[in-house]
Amino acid sequence: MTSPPMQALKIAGIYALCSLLWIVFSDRLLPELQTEKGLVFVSLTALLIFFLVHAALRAREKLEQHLNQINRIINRSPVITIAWDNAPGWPVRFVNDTIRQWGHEPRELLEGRLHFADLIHPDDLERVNQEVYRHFSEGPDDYTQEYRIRTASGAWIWVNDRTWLERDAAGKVSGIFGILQDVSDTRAALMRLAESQNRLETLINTIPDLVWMKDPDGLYLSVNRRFESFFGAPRERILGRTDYDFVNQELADFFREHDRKAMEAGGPCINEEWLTFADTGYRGLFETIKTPVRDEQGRLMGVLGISRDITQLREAQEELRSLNIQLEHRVRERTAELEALNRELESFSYSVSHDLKAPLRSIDGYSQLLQEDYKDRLEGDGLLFLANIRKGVGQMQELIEDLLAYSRMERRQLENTPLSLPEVVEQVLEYEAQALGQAGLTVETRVPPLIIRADRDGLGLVLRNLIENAIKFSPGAQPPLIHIEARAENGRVLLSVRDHGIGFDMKYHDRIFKIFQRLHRAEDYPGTGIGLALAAKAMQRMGGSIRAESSPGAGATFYLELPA
Amino acid sequence: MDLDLALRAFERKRLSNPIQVARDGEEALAWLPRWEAGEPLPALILLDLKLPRVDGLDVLRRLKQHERFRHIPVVVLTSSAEDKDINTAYDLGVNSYIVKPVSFERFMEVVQHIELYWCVLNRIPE
Repeated sequence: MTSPPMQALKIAGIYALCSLLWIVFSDRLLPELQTEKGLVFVSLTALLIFFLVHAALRAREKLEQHLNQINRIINRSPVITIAWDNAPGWPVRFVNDTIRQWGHEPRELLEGRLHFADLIHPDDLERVNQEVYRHFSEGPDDYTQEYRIRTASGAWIWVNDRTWLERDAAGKVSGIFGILQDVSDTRAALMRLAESQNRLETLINTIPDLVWMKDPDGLYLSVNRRFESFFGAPRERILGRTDYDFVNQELADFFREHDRKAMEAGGPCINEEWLTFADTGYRGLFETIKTPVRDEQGRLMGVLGISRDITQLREAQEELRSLNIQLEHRVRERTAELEALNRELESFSYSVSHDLKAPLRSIDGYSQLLQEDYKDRLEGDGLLFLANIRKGVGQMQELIEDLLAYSRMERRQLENTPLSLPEVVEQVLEYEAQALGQAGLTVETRVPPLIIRADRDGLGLVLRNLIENAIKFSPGAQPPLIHIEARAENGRVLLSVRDHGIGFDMKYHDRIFKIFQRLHRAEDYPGTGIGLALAAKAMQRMGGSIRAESSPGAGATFYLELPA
Repeated sequence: MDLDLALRAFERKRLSNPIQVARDGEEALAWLPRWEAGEPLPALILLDLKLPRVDGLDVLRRLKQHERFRHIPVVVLTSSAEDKDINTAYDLGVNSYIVKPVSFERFMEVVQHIELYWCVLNRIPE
């Protein structure tokens, strides 16, 4: 295709040639050719011109169609095609419609209201310009750059600019062409990837474990910093090499053996090994987990290894174990000691029950025989002395019995069975009926049908003691009553025994529950000083408690608390 | 002293049966060969647990393990009221267990009851 001026020149030339021929030959030809023939000539030349102009117009139309097509294609592509002049501010010579994706109208640029340099981020402009001028002077004329472009809304977009330079005949750059592509998403994704890779790397390099990966042939693919310290070499030297390049044959064989085991097992394999670090000489016990790694298609990529230093852990475990053994040993020793002590105590009370009673029995027996057989030979004081001996024997006997009961309560195995409280109270009252009758006392009970967990004999003993205690301290009490009441409270049962007797001062509260502690002279109120101590011991052994409330002359109330 | 008192108690309650005394566990066991040799068996054995030389429970064990003599009624008459002693005695097959009262008066009553029950009312295999 010829250029428009050439084409116009061609048409004008043909026209001029024809006209010249006409000027030269018309005078001679016209008479011969006549008017008709002149018309023919004009027609022919007109026809010729028609064809020439038509061909030129056709070609132009085709070109325009072609341009249109290209424009349509360019405008449909996501990239921005732009051409600018080598002039200050980069005035835009051509830009396609896709510039609209950034909110800019092509006209603004084409009409010079906006130059290409105006769109480039100020922080990037200098770098872009330097690059461009370097290519102007040094080439190559085809290169790529990345920088930020401002959108009409003021946002910044990262673009990849594929640039090539247009030079004139003298080699001076006349225009610059660029194909710009929005790479913001790609760039952001890459940055995220780099960040996450960085984090991962930091993590792997910070953990105190050894982390590495080998390919199926045992060549190192990656190692962390701690691993570098183990081999005493930087990763560049380790990657692509095998264990045999760093540790002795035997250890390398051992490592390889476990790699194979993991690959064959198809899952994590754990082993323990003693490792010596090449850089510091540290030696420790490590627990190693090796896991085969596969790609998405299931092909074996290699073995991932993680080794953790368990030296201290193991030491602590060993220490704990030995401490445990020591402790068990000590417990056994103490148990044996306690058992021995208990046996001693048992044999002591056994002796008390036999040996202490035997002489007492003799005193009682012979004093009675004396009383019966030699009564007529004694008189006055003699008979009184004998009676006192027998009274002393009675007290001694009571003391021994109470003491034995106390020691039995300390040692015996208690049952812990559900008991009906009213039933237990009823049994005790039956047992004490005679004593109560003799003392002229009546018992008022208000005991709801509660179930308690206790030892039947233990609880019976406690209640008997409290009732006997109440009888003992209620001579002439007004009203002549003993009240037994019970109620459930917070999962426990509270049982009270209240009398209207002489009472006691609360400052003695703790003393009355101690063995051999008495508040009154034996002549006034007989007793061994064991009864309440025995009750307290029984309550303690049954997981309950006992306390009292009183003031002198106002009677006393004893409270028992037991698990329901 | 215990023995003397016991015998005096038997005497006062005028027990009808003759009484043989073994002063310790060894003496008690010495009776076994004599019974085997044909001496008449006792109608009742009263046994204290705390005996010198051989323990009363051992005597009881030997008696109750014996083919022929295990039917002789044995009544433990002792001062121990320990659960352990009571349980062991019954495990060994004692016929009765009575805690010796300290009071002489009560002791005489007990002796009388024992004779009435074991020597008059109770029947044993021939």
